[in-house]
Amino acid sequence: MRAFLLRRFALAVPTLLGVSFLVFALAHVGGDPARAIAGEKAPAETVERIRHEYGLDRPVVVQYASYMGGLARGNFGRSSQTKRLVAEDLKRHFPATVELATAALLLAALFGMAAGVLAALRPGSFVDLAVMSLSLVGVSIPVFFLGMLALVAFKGMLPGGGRLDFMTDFTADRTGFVVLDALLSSRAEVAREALLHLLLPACALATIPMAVIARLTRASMLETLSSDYVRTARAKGLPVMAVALRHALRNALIPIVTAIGLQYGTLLSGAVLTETVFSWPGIGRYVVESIKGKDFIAMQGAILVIATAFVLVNLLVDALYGRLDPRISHA
Amino acid sequence: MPEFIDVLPARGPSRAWLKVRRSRAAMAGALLVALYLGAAAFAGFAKRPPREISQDSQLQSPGAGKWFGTDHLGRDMLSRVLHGARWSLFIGVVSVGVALIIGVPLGLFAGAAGGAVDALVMRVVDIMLAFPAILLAIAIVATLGPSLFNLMLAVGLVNVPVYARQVRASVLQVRELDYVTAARALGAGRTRIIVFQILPNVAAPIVVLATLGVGTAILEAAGLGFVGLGVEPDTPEWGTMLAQAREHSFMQYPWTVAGPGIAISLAILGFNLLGDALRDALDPRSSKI
Repeated sequence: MRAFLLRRFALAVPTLLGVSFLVFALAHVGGDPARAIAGEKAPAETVERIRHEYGLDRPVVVQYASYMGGLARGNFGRSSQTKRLVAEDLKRHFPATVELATAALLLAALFGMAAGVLAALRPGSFVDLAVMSLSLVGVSIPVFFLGMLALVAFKGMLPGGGRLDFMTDFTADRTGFVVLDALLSSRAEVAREALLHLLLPACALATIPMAVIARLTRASMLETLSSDYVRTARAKGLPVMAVALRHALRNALIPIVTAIGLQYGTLLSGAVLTETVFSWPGIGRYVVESIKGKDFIAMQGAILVIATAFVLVNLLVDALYGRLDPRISHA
Repeated sequence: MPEFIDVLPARGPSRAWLKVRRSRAAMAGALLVALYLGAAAFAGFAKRPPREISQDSQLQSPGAGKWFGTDHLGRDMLSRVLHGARWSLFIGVVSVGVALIIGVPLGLFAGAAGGAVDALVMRVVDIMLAFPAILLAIAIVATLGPSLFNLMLAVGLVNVPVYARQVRASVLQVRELDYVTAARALGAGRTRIIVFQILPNVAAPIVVLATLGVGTAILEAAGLGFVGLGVEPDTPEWGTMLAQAREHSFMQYPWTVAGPGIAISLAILGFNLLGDALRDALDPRSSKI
């Protein structure tokens, strides 16, 4: 198992290097970073001075090497827009995205699996039809439209954006997760407020994974429900629900858990659009803002972090897959 | 060419077609796609041009003569939504075209060449897949600058791996089959085998992927439009329209969101239904008729 994990990590290294090179290349093909740092109206000499100061007049390969050297020391460069270190900005914004994605995943897994099980218990029934149709609609509605719909529908009932009310005086400086930090500093009212703020964006972000998980759970359950051990368990006189949950679902779980894991990677990144709708100060919105401000250094760092998280999450899911199914051995 | 070779594949599509015809989901999908194509075709009949600004009819709610209401510049939402179908169809089809033009030869090449070439191509594909699609598209548009052309290029490039992978997998399956060996024994060259023997036989999954792909491309393009990296702001493109609604108090004027939002959702739903049904029909493993 450990050898397998190591090998998978080793394989991820060239991918991540390739990712870093591609992002670097994109950031440098696109516009002039020196001009971006200096500002639109800066005179040509200033731009040239900055180009020299930041080493932007060196060959691209040298620049890439020095950027990677900086990365190894945790230095992502300085944002031309916020004037802060990109690493600091990321530390501030990434937890917001993780918080949102985690909340969405929990919702999606819980309701998606429940719906899938209910549908599989009576294939062809009204419940089944409803679950399948809703899941189809769920994957078809763009998350940004759904988010705006939710905002209109719950106007005045639920907060419309941000992680906390504007007036609330609280900074999440321990873990970066507002809900967690509020609980840690025993401010239950802040935690409650943060959860309320999470509700709409998390629900909107959860629809697509929820639909995917529901369909997969249904398919996987249908398979296990028709197996001999389920028939035996029913013949013994065990109640339907007990058999469904303890026998069928348990065995149906392997592909479901894999799908849930893969969805998490997608959620971390898919938050770009949701964060824009709900003014959520996460890393996706940071990417969009830095692009609008032609802040290529910030964009580069943020995209790199998201892509790395995406690769690593998928890798972990892969490893977990072997753990869950004893029939798969990686020896 | 001896006749029996022609007979076998000819039966496949008709059986698949029957299956598609019998599926209610497929028919619903086809209806939605037809509706969408109709909207695109007849958008020109809308009473008002989609970009016509009207000072005295801003943000009017839907009613007689203005079924979808008007937006913050007094533009007719119905006309804009209909023209939006045209734009999104154009963007979706061209993007998928870009992805096919690059992805299919790449997959054919990698699969047929094998060895180091194959390994290299697949590594590049892996790297592209390491990015979440929308993020890579955003990065490409950001680099090249927002414009219609770059939008379609970005959405197309992001989807290249999908087709390259599928084609390569099919090529690996097909290239050891008897008819390929036979063609080789007859003295056909590598290019000839790829173009005349392998390509027609890997086409079915590509058709399915491309159908589903138009839906995905529409969605991705609308997403880019929504974050402000799409077409010119006055273009009646659905994602851009939603972005403008968001900036102009859509909470008070929900119809500015409803029109384009429902339109995108229905279009994507149609392509999803149709693509799913096509996949089921063309997949030999599910050949219950």
